[in-house]
Amino acid sequence: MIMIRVGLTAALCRLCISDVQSSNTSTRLISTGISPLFFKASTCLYAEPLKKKKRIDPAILKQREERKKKRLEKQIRRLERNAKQLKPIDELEVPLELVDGKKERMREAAVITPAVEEERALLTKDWTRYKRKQHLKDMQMIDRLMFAQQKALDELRQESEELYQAAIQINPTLLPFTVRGPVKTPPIKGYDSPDGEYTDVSKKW
Amino acid sequence: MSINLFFRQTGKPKIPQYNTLNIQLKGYDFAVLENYQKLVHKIAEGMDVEVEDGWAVPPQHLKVQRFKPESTIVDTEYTMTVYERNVQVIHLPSTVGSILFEVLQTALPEGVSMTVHEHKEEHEETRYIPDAELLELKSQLEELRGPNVKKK
Repeated sequence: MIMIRVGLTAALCRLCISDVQSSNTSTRLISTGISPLFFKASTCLYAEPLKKKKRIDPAILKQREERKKKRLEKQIRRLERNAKQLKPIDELEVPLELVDGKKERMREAAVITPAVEEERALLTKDWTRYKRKQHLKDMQMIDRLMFAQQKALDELRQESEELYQAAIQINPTLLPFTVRGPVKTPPIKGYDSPDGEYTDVSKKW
Repeated sequence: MSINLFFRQTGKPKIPQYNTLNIQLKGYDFAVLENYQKLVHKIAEGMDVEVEDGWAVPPQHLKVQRFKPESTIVDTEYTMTVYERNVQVIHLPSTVGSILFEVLQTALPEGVSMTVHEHKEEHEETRYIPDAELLELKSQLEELRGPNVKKK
């Protein structure tokens, strides 16, 4: 009985019950046909049940966010583990035209007579001897410099420990410093340098 | 060279050392530049200075425009490339450092400039191609963390 009633009420929930007090009758009038029609029809759902928004537990929300974070971190770690690619250096790359035309440009190695080979070997030896002497002279000069410095520091140490400690310290105003190499010609007197602009057009990664 | 060893043996107070230094060489002719890099390496090794690393960086292309006098009409236009090489040096004592910088300065070839500075992370990063995916993921992570941090 109750079930039926519930069903009925559900079906007729939009039913209009009006209290019409007419002169003829003092009974209540129950009708669905009164205009405007009080039946309400919703959009065609094609038997889709209505989605009710459930209140998600904040703990579950947090869990989901944590899981997302962990997944992202894992992916980041995986990418970082793979060796990073170095930027290619233009002057060290073989130009593509040469790589493509390798077959055309390739020649057979020239025949080197033993006399020429010996001459080349002797030349190489002379060059190495010369370069070695040059390097040795450079190193000897550096040794002299360092020895002189050490001697000066020792003397200073004997004079006063404080000054020695101060002399040893790193000069904080030194770094960073830039020096330029010499130029081929001295500056031209009275040179009116033209206006111009430098724009950096290097490849941006 | 043996002077430093003597110093260590007697156990006298140590000379303060510089942090990791980058000797940055820039020039317009990379053959000369590479040769100079070799020389820097040799001199440093000869002075018993630890050379950690030596690398090259992609060159910088400059578009130079020369204007006609008192106007912005382009007179001539040409490109110049500035090549770069680096030498990294560690555990450099201050006394040896002063001599090293002077020697390197006197040995600078024509058109090459040398900059000595401390090595920082950004110098290392500029050598590598930035990974777009990695950056995307990192920004996503920041977004996820961001609102949380703000709430706190």
